[in-house]
Amino acid sequence: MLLLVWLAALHGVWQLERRTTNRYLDRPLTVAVTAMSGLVADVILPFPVERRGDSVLASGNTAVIVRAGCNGAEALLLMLAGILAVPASSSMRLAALARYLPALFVLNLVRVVGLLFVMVRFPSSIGWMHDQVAQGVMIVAVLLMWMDHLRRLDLSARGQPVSEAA
Amino acid sequence: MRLAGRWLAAFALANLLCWPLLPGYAALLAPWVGSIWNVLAAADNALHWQTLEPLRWTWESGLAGQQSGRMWTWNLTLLLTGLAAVDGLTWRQRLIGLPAGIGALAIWHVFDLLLSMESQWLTLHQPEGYNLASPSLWFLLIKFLNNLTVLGLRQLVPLLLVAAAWQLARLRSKGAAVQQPHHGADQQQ
Repeated sequence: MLLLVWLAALHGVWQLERRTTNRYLDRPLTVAVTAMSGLVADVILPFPVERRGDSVLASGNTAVIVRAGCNGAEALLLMLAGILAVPASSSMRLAALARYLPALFVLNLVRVVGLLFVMVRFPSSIGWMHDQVAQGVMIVAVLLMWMDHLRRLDLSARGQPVSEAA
Repeated sequence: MRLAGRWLAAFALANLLCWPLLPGYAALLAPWVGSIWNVLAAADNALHWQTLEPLRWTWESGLAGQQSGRMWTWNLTLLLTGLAAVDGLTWRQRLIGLPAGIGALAIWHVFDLLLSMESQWLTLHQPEGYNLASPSLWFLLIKFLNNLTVLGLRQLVPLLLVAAAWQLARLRSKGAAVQQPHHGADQQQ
């Protein structure tokens, strides 16, 4: 229940910011994901990729638009709500945020670059890959990270070092 | 690491199993949602389906809306993944959880699509609602709920259903463990 309350509160703040200033949360995240995905794509994709504006990655006539959703906000907010909803010390929460949020950010870069690759090379599969597989992978990743967080909290409560059960 | 492997393998398997079946799911559910919309809606915004894959519709006024049916069906994949990979469930509980979970998810999807339709209708019909200087409470509520659903609840609901099945199984096994000593005592008498 607390998870839902936190998720609703975080989304409320996120949406309000996006609809009013859009300078501090959604837009900077979108710009960062687009820029860094562009760098990763340049290195690993076998075709040229260009950045068009703040939120579009393109190769020829094919483009990926990185906006709410594709910028990974949903996974980041879900992880944040999951961490805030479970009782833990501030230091454990901060350590969890420092551990999982960057990992999700990087995973989302891989998702965006992977989708651009599929769009260019296997365009008929993009609906399935975008709507189903890529989103699902992000959520399974959030769930696994959250379970890892719970395991660490449990070990910490029992006074055991985390590495013992890893 | 083994846990991650199990979940990812279950996810891959669920995708392979669902891939050929999924387009039919939205086509099965959408006409029901259209009927509910038409019962609830005023005469000028009655809805007519154009295509069911992707979901495209028009309203009486000529305005149109759409949604990808796959935005729902990856929920089913997540449900299958969770039921297959979560610890602490017997195979019987997993098999019972499947139709129960799909039924609950279908009810959620009806609500989800109705919300999406209302949100798109408001965008087209009352674009001035985005002006926060003169807020409309209904407009803001629908927009908030729709965004929360698209970016939060669609991801969470299948996993919450799996968590509910897991919790139920745990309570039952605890109940059985508490009852067993009494059976032993009865037999001794």
